[in-house]
Amino acid sequence: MKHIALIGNPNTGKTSLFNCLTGMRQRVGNYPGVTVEKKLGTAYLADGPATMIDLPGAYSLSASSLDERVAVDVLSGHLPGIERPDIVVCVIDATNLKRNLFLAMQIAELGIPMVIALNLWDALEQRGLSIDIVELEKRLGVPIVATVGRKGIGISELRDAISKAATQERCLAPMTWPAEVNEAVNNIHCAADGHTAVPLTDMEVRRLLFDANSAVLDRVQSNHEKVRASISEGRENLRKLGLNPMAAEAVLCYKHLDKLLEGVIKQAGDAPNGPDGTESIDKLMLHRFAGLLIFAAMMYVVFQAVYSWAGPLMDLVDGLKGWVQGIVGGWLEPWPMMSSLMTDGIIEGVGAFAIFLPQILILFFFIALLEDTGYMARAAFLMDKLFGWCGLNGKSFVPMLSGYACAIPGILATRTIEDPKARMVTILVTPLMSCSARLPVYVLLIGAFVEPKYGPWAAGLALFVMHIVGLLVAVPAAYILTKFVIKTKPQPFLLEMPSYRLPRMQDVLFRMWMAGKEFVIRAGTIILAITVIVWALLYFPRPAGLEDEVTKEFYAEHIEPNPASASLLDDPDSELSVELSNTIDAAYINQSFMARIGKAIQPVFAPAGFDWKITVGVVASFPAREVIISTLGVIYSLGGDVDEESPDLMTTLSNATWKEGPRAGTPIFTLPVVFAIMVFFALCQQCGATLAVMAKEIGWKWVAGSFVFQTSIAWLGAVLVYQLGTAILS
Amino acid sequence: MRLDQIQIGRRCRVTAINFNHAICQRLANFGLLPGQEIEMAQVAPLGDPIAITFEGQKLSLRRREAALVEVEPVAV
Ligand SMILES: Nc1nc2c(ncn2[C@@H]2O[C@H](COP(=O)(O)OP(=O)(O)OP(=O)(O)O)[C@@H](O)[C@H]2O)c(=O)[nH]1
Ligand SMILES: [Mg+2]
Repeated sequence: MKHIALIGNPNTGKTSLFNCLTGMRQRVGNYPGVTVEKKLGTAYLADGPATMIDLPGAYSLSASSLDERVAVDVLSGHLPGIERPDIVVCVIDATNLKRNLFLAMQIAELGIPMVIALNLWDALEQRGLSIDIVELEKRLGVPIVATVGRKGIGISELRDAISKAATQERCLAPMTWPAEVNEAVNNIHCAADGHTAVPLTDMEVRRLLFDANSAVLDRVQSNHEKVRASISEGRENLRKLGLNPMAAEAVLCYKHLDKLLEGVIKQAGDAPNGPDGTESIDKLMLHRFAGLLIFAAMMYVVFQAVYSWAGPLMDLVDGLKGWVQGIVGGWLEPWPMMSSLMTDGIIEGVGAFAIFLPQILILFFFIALLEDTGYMARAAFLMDKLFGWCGLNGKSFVPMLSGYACAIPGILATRTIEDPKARMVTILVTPLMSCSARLPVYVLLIGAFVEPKYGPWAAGLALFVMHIVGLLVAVPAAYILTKFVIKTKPQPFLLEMPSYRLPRMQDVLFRMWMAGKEFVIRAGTIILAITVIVWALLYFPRPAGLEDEVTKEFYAEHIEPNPASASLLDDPDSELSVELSNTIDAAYINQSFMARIGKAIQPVFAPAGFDWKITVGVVASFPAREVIISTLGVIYSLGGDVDEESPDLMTTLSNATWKEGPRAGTPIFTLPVVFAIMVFFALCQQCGATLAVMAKEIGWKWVAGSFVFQTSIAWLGAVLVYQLGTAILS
Repeated sequence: MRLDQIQIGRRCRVTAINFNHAICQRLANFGLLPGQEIEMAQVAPLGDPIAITFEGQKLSLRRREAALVEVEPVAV
């Protein structure tokens, strides 16, 4: 099968075209660097199927960042497992022709047949401009197709052009370089000949000549002295031409392009809609005062909406849960253990978690909106200074912001950061961002303890604050890392600001759908599995005599002083019966394996005000933090704290009291405890999947360090909040 | 004059760039070369970074790097 690579500058619509050509659904978004890994798909062309490769965007083949490297390696055939493409489709932003052709001219050096897609054609027309495609085709010598990736316009023409390109083999005419450049290329070739695994291509040699620290140098295995000498000599000759070697390529190429593009861009009548309004929007969005205010207001609205819009939907899921529990409990009545496993274990645990699906959907709705409008890059612009002093930069901000959805895409997004050390720091702090898996914990606790007392606006505020806690730790942590551990120099910040675009409903819905799917899958797999384990550890052992013993004690305490009340026990709904069964449940759970584990570990968390049940929740949540919800659900429903009158986990938690010890009878969940739990979850590294992805990017050693660091800082934070909170409130 | 000294909304033309810094090669790849006219579009609320527009594209960079670019003002 033929291999066809899509390449072009970032944010030009490569993935949009890829989706059109292959019928797949890869993520698109309006900021440079959405795609950070190559993606494969199959396109059906006139002459049969072909493998399409979607690549991360690149500004040039100098490849200053990891994601750009992928693109360059695929093109030169150095990526193991991927053949060198037979055809490249160069996706060009029609509104920025010259700069986009700079990359195309570099690719021309590879001698691969090329098709140019002039994408964002609608944006060009909107600006009242047009490109003379026939003339441009003549000058460049390759087929050119106008496309609108997001609407699927021009796709069949693009398909045809690709099929034809395979047979016609038309390549973009490379630049004619001055003799000095050609001579230098020859000399470097001579010096490197036989000292690389695969002979260097002309393109690679030109990278050696033009780039200050080219990665190509790593491919030269020996004879470094000679190679370096020939490079310096070549650069010296460029200087004699009056060209700075570091800028020579750009200067020569842009001069070439200026001539090539003369008269190609035309005014199409008088501008119907004028410029696209990006500048006027930015005047407001990036305004000195208004800009920051809008930013803060937007973030607040997001969290307020996540908090308050979901209510009715949550009630729905909760009602459903109770209904299923009733039915299943009825069926399984004859088998108490199965009944307990299904209702108290699986349905309670998974249901308690599933309730938060609406919140996740709403959060992703807003994230998709921010991304698709083009605001993400503006957020990075506004925040860069705040981040700069600690060695991070605005480019770290985008992965960190993605980290608010989930740390994993955030960590992958760091591939757009050029400097490996700055990238490392960003990866290490991204898990501190409050991902959507923490949201259920916050919503549960804020809903149970903050909202009833202080009202919805305080609840929104609390949620907002919880989302900042991680950031407050991340910034100094990054500072320490850059200053003392990894030692990075301040990194330049260079970010293209995309034009604002109206978000497409289907893209936004797609993001929500993917996030929802992920959430449900987690509920059905990891959460379910851990829930069953937790249930079993709480249910067993079941010593034979325990129930009789407890019943006897209960009689001695309640019935013997007042024998008349014995008849009340015949009615299973009477207060006394309920109390008896609760006492029995509590006795079982108190001697369960989980209780023993929890009680053994509880002293560690005692300074944060956690009882053994919270401790169990915290410990069980290390593989995946959302487990806390289902665990608390199971613990409290098995523990007899849940009956028909406690409609949901929130009420149950607010009714929970210390059963023994100095604080017996007082509520477990006081405000300081609630915030201590939330702070612990905000800071702790409780996500197996994130650890695995981090390990792949930076190695287990760093991951171990980060795990230890986050766990200790989480504990410290929780203790601090609890101790200070109790001191202030008392 | 240096690029970081231009006021918001003013236009200027690049006269020289200090190519000894790697970042300038990247700027050059964007087409930021001597002779190019640019407009200072915005300054971030905290004073840094800045956003410039030229040839229909918008880039943001820090003052530190902008200071490597020599410019002369252009009358509107
Ligand atoms: N108006 C308009 N928007 C488009 C067109 N093609 C893509 N877009 C939008 O442009 C943005 C970027 O599209 P992507 O397909 O993600 O671009 P990309 O080249 O894959 O970007 P990176 O992966 O970041 O390099 C998205 O918001 C798309 O919806 C088009 O032809 N016209
Ligand atoms: Mg993409």
